[in-house]
Amino acid sequence: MSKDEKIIELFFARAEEAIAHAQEAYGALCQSVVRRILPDQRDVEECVNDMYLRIWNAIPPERPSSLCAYMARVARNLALDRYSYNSASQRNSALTAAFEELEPWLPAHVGDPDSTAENLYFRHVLNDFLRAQSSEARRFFLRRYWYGETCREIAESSQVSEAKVRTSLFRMRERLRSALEKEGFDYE
Amino acid sequence: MNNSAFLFVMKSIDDTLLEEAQRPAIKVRPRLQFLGIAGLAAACILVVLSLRGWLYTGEKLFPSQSTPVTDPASETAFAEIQRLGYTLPVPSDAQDVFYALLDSDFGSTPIAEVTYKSGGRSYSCRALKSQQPENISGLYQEWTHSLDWKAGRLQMQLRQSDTDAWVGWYAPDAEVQWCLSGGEDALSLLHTAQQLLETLGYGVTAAPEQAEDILYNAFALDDLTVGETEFMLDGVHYSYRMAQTWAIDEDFADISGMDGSFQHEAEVEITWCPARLYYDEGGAGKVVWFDVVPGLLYSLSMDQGASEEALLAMANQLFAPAQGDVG
Repeated sequence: MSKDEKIIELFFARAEEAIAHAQEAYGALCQSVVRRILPDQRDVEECVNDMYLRIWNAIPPERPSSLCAYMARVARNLALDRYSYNSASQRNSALTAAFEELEPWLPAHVGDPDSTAENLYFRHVLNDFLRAQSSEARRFFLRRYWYGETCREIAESSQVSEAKVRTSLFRMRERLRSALEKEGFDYE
Repeated sequence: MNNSAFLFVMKSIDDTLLEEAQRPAIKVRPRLQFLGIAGLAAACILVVLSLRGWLYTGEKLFPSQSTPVTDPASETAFAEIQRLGYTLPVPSDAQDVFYALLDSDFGSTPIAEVTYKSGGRSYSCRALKSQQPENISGLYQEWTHSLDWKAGRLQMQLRQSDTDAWVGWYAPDAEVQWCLSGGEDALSLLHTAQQLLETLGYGVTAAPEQAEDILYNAFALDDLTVGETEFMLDGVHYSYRMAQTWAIDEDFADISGMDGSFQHEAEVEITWCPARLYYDEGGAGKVVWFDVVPGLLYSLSMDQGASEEALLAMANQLFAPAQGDVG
């Protein structure tokens, strides 16, 4: 049984040490994920604590295929929620800096509250586009623009050169724009 | 920065993709990397060919969904699986057959599973009604080989590590994801999956119905891994190639391997893809095209009888876009 499976079994057994084991295994990762979105350390700590409560309530019935990935995703989404509702935290962060790099490749009115149908279709096209890419390119792209990691961090964790990551990101941005234009999105 | 655009885009990605991005990276040892890719590419082409029955020589292993069930719990599960409309074929020589319904990570719909032994190996075959491809293998680890491709209308998946492997296929028409696992031999699983797919009634298109002398190959060409299907049809030799590329240039690479000048050249489209066509009237010819979104290069060449109509007809017949039919 893998480390993840042992920890998940503790969650299923409602054993409170599950939290401690999860924290020991992936706490640092979750802190770093949240820190790229929320610059304030108090927000980071509160958000990570919320994350443990969330996974305690979610497992069971959920049984994540990768606890590491699951916790990172939950932590990220909670941090984004906090970013949305906490105006004080709306400052530059690693994630907003990464988004500014991607923004010129996105359609003109994406996220506009008055464009509900267009937004829904954008979401559909974006996810389909990502699924059509190689898993490595998709991983680079999401880690850069949806987790706010630097190219160097991605390169180190993926054991590839930083140049490869940069090239992949550039080509993915070009492809994304091409795919969105083909689907009729307006770039003005 | 547009803050509403930022929040919208940040919340637009499916959770499965966000989690996939955080899974530990898989690093294949460089000296084995090409062999691994080529082997898997060959295996993929092999299964596509096998699905057509070209390599099929033995008796049909999956005659129908059978009910060799003796365990009461399994019997109850089998009845429920039938009621839910799942089809889980087992080989005629299967032993220790056990049916079960499993809780799913993907919503309230349960996963149907049959486990059995056949030819000295243990297998698990699972099915889940789903609106999108899912990993229902129940195997969670770092895969040394991971490949997704399209065969006909099926979206195929293959994962392999030193200890485990699984082959999955998603049928968009039926909205069912299947998964076959057992042991670490992915090629053997692909062969077993072929038998299972035949029973389920799925066909794919890798060459025309009447094609003969079908061969598959995988090789390196200009830093690309190329998968190739060769076949003969009405005395004409065809070569159909595919390769993944990082490039996005409009002047995309020609992977046909057919050099030289031709009497006629034209810029055309294969479905929505930009294509370049070259031929000598009645002689040899080729068409090369590029699907920019998945980053796939294609080529089709023929050694005689070429014309614009002949090349386009065959290319359109063979081309199965990786992202499925659009529009």
